[in-house]
Amino acid sequence: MILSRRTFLRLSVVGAVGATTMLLAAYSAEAWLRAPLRALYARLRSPRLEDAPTGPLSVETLNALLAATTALAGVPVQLAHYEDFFRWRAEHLPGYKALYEQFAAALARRARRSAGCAFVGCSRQMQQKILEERPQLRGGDGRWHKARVAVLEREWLRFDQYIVRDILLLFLRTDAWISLGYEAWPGTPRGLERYTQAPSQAR
Amino acid sequence: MSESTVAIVGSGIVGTTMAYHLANKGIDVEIFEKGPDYPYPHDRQFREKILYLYDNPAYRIPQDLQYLTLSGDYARDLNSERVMVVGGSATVWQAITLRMLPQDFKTRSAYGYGDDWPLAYDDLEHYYGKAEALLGVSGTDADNPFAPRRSSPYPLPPFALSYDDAIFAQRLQQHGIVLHTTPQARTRAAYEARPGCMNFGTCRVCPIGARYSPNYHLLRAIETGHCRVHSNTSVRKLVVDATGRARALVYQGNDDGTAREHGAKVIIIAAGTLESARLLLLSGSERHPDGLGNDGGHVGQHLTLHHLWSGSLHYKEHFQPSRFGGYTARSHQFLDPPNRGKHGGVVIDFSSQLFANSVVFHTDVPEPSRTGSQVVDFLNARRQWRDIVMQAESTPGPQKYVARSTQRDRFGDPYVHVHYEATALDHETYRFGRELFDRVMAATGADEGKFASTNHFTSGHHHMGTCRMGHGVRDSVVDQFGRIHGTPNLFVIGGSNFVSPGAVNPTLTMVALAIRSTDYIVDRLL
Repeated sequence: MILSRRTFLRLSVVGAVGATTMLLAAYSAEAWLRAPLRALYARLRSPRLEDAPTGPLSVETLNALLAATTALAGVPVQLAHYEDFFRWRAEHLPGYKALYEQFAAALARRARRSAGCAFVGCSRQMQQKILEERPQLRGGDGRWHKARVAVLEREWLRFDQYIVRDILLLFLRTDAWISLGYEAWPGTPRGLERYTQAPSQAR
Repeated sequence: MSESTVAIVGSGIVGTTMAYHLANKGIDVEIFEKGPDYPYPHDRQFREKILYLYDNPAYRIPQDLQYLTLSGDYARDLNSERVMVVGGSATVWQAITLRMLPQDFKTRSAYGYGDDWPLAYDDLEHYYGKAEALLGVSGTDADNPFAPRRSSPYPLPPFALSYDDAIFAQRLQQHGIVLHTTPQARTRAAYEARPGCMNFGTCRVCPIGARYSPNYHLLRAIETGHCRVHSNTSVRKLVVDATGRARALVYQGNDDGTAREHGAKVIIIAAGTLESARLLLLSGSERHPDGLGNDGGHVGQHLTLHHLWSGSLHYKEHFQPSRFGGYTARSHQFLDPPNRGKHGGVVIDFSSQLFANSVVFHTDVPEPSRTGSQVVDFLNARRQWRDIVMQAESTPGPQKYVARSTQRDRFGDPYVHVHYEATALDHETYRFGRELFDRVMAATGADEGKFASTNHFTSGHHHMGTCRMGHGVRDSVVDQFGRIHGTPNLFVIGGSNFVSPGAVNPTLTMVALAIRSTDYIVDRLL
């Protein structure tokens, strides 16, 4: 079929307008979708703490938390302030007691499955391995891994956000200073004499 | 309508200073505070925030009561710089208490920029001493040749330089830069009912009251039986009668449905630089259509912030910063530099405490730390960096002001809108600060340095101007005692009165002005 010059021009204009419209529509749709998708992903990455009653921690739960603390720290730590921390949160902030119990149970399950021991009874190296291999979001992980963890491993994301992060933050403010040779960490009464003198055991 | 002899809007360090002095003279005072109660001593807050990493929402005011809109250059969250609780921002301040220089009160006549204050350093010197006594300031001028004249000694001895500070002080001295101790409202030894500092190092929430908090004197004011505090209560407007006197303030419980009036013989607005101006702007009437005290158009104008540019210097060796929690090493050598007028003055803050602030109050684990060892590595690497802050004065300008926002709070009242654009002289001051940074870098043997860009500054929570003092309606909002021109019993006191900011931390000057105005009010009006 031979097109007349006029028909050809008409079709060209219609085609160009159509293509532009489709491109604009696609771009708008992407822009329109981008914000809610990002918000959804942010929500998936940061699950909320579920509301649950406060109360005292059992010895078993506390021991699991302290074992996890020691394993995560990887250097000698004083456990008293972590114990105080876990007890206070469980007794004062809704959701933490249940979360700590779920964390202890999840660690126990992974320990039994991968090493055949109770988490608290496993060797330090095994405890560290179990924690290292827990489902988590790392900076270098691929998109699919992140999406899978965000959707399927929400319990572990919650543990990371509300337990592991707290342990490391508390460690940063306390025992990490001792590891570097400080006599004491901020938050303890350190007196006014030693700070003017050379550190006794600087690393 | 309820009544009291004096009504104060705002329970921050200015409001509590005035309430304390008035109540001790047997004068009945009622304070209206928009924010919630904040227990003192702050040991409960210390346990929650430091030991249990818990940011208690009971101490936060809802966003529909504390918000502002912002335009211009300022890239930080200005709204979060205002702490609205009983006691105000000084419940969590760094407590650096410095006197402005005599020259800071007359920059127009001495250097050709800004405007002169209607009072001189000598008018305030006596009150600086009273303010230092009130706050329990530890300090010395023996190592600071740049300190202004004083007629009374510091109440307490200074906190010595730290071991690391002394190393840097020696290196800098060899290159002609003097590093000295920092006067501060921390108790070097027991003072009145406050214990001596035990160096907890978490000074933003001092558990024992060694670092001054306004709530210390607020409790004492309440104990006299002459002071009452209404927390969680917003003051929405001021009412002036036909003779021009302030008759009442209109207040409303934050969760109440009804606004009420409270009458007083004297009304004092001490709500911070931004909210004080906002309240005047919200108090317009037929007689004052543009807001109360605004007949000359100065309410909200002449806003200044301090400009704090942060830098970091890297060294080959590791240091042990932050073994003391307060502030130590700084230099006032460049507060009044030879070329002042081409640029402003600068304080060099070289305190090792800056390190702890970035760690102790860090709210997240530094990426990519996943284990304790990685956290230790992070902290260890940070020990090779020394933080440094250049705290500079800025100049007022037509593009620095406060106005009514188009957005409104829960009562339907407009929030405050802040517009802030640095002046040409501010940019010159940045260049001067940058030169000082390079000098310090070379003098101390740093092998790498990072310094903020010109617009990447923070105010240090130092907001000034907006209700400046002066000689009359044509140049200002209030007189040298904070009294609004033409309204004989209405005062605005605080950082809002500043004509120009100097470069030093403003709080001691605010407290000195508050004591001076209290004396004036008692002598002349009550």
